[in-house]
Amino acid sequence: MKNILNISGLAKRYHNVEALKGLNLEIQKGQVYGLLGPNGSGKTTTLGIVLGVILPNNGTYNWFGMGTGSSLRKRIGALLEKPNFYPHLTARNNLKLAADIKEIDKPAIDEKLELAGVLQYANRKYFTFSTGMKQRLAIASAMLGNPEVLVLDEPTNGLDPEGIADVRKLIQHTANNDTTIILASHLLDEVQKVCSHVAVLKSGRKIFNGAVSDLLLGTERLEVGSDDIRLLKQVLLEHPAVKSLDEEGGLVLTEISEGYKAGEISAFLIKKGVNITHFSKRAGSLEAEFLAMLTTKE
Amino acid sequence: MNRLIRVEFRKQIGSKSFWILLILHIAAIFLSIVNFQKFIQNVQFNVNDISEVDLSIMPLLTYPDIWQNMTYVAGFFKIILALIIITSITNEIANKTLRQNIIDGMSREGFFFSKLLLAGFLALVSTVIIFFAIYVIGTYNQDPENVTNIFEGSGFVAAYFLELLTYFIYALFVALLVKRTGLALVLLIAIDFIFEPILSIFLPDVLDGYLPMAVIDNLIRFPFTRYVGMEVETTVSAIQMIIVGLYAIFFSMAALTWLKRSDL
Repeated sequence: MKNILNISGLAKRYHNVEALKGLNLEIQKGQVYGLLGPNGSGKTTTLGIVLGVILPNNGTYNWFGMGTGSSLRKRIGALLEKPNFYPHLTARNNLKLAADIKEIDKPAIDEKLELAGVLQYANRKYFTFSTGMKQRLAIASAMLGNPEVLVLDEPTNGLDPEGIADVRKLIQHTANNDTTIILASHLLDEVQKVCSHVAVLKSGRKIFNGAVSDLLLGTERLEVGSDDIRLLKQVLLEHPAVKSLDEEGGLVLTEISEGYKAGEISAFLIKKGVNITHFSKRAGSLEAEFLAMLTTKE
Repeated sequence: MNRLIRVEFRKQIGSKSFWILLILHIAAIFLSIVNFQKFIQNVQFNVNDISEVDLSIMPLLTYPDIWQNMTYVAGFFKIILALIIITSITNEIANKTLRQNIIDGMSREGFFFSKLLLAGFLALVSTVIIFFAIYVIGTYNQDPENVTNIFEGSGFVAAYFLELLTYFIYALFVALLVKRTGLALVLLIAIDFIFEPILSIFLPDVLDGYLPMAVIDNLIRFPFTRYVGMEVETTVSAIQMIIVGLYAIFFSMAALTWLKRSDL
């Protein structure tokens, strides 16, 4: 697989605060890569460095295996933190300016404005835009020229639920076109829905890096319902595969050891005379894993 | 280069403050020409003798004096255009559009060069205006009985261009350094009228004339004392031009180095 971004030993210090402590990352072509971490973990600093606006104290990064030059950034569409546009210019003129900088001959500005849902405001000046509209315009700008890589830092900030769903669809649509996406977000549910890989940062260090499926492996739980919850719990605890039990909304959630199949559990329950009213698998949650990781890993 | 010009043009074309300040600068030049004698008498330039002189009988606006007289007076209004440079930098920093330009693929050198082009453009516009104003007024006031070489003394126009360009580059550097419009403007004025004069007290006489603002301001020497019989420098000193040019290069390098070493 082709390397899109290679980060090696990246470090950044702001006065006496170490924002990044020797970060290493590798992002491959076509990945939808989530960058997770609590506030101050170094996500935005990392993206700021690889986008050329923050200077690292140490370490290197490399785009497309070619280096760090400004011409390489023209192949990247990015939204870092907040949308940044000229307030006195219209949405369309702001995008024309961005297209000029990126040296895009036919930027298809209206198409991108429509994709982001702000075409009807194309001739309005940027300072009249609401927070959500600004965010949508920034996404349209990042999409100009169909970049090979899309870097989105909190792209759903300020968006209403409809906007969040639109951005999710847009990311999925873009990812299907073989575009590499780097997404930093606090919305773990969103990340889980769209990302193939994640890196988790804490206090400037990487504490996990890999496929989302790997992270969630073994975190699957069974949802079981019965008209006799007390009996259900009692019987489940008799099974050697059952690691834990929880109750939620009239259902029993159980974590089972690796190597056991759900069918074995249901057969065991039936054999023990439990009347099963509900039986399904619940996928592991990135949020739960993320929180567990932050509390356990240093 | 064409792309940088187009990018900077797009940024400025929709900016009200750009047009207001540009028109204000041009209006200030024209108003000072229309009321040239009054303007000179009111300003007085710290030379009390000038207020005693009947300027209406002096060849203020005829060749060759007009070249030096008008470029000297027009130099007062360079601060208005410097404000365009300052706001164009500080707004880019405040709105974080400088940061976005870099993210979009502009190099830091490219950004600096685009602002340098703006400085050059503004200096050129003002120089062209002053050149044609001098040409029209000088020709109008020319005594047909006494035809002289009308371009004698026109070197002051080149000096005017260099004075403006260097001052704008200096303003660009200050704006990058302090990042705030008001502060940059205050600093620009304070250095010219407070810090440099104080510093010159402590410097040997041979050096105080070479401080940046002093050397820029002295490129076109105060011309009006010639009308009270005092000797004035009526040509542009090549050495002065070179020193100002070196300051322009120095401030450019300083601004670029600062930009390249800063987090945006």
